[in-house]
Amino acid sequence: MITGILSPMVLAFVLGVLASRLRSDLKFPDGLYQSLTIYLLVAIGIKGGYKLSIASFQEVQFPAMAAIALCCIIPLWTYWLMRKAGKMDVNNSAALAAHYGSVSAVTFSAALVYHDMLGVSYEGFMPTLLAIMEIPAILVAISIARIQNSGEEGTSNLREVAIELVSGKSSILLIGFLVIGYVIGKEGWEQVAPLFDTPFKGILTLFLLEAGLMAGRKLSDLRTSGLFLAGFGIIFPVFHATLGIYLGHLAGLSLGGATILGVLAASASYIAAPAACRVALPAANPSYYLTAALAITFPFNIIFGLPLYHYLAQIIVK
Amino acid sequence: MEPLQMLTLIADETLTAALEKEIVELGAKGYTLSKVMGRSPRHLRDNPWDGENVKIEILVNPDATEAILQHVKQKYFGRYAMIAYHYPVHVSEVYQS
Repeated sequence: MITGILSPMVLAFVLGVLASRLRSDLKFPDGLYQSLTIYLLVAIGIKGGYKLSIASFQEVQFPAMAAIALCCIIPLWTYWLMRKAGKMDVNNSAALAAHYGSVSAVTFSAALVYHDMLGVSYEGFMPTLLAIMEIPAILVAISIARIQNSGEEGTSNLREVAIELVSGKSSILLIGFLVIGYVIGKEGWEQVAPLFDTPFKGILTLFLLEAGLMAGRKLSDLRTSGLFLAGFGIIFPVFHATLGIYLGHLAGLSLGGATILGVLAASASYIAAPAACRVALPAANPSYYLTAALAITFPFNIIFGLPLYHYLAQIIVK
Repeated sequence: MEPLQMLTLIADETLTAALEKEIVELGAKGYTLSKVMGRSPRHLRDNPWDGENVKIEILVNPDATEAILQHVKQKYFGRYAMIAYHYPVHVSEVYQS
């Protein structure tokens, strides 16, 4: 537990939150956020692609099915719960379903680094599952809203939303570099590893400082979003993680791999999903979905979630 | 020379690609685009997490101004963060291709 909390990444995140609460003038220069995001997605993609090239199809097929199942089911019941228990309207419920069904590449990265620190091995092809899980949940959630709102069409149809998502920067980088990593082989990977492997943890630490600054600002929005969302943002990830770990275990993943699939199921998107929701669900309020994803679920996952899911995985895998 | 209008649209940056296409279809021959930050009564957009705004400045004739305004009012106003305004301008030279 302590290994997780005292990691440079978590401490940088906490520093970011503190700086933001103290109204520090610390601010990342324009464009650095985008640059760090590009680095992280390229690094995850290229290494995952290379590892995928040395894995067999049999190893990957069942975990991939588990990933697809998770990202199709999670938005359905998230939507239902938001409507019934949260008493939210169609657009806000669908936006939350999109965010929680999709995944966070940074939470995923933190999970990889956490396992490296503990010395627990995991399947190298896990980034493929990250890529698989990014888009479907957003489309499922937007479809639900379209069906429920029939008559009141949005400005773009579902096909346009799908094309925008696939051509969006995070998909192009992640899927593109998975393919590049797959075809370059060991020799190609070794050429770029000095940039994309070793410095990864340091860059992730920098990104988490920026994420902390943003999460700190979002904490003020918690008052408007309410207790229900705060409770949901913590309880549901634990439930989703448990399901992800269990499915991962059934699909033949190792302890580390199953835990990371759990982390993917538990994480909430804040790059692809917010942009898609702003276009396709403009009536949804960002102070619900962005606050829940960024100020509640993201900090919970990286500080307490990772050690908790590792513990849960040990029980489930046994 | 025909009087020109400076029509300015400020909108959620996610609408950029759609707006660029639509204004050209409605008669704009060119435009200037910049990323901007700011606050409206509904939203504060000043960082890449929440998203930023795009400002599109278009020099157009009065007919095209009206066409673009009607279009954005119908398609975006009330649903998306967007504001539009225009005023007459004196352009010292317009390059005619």
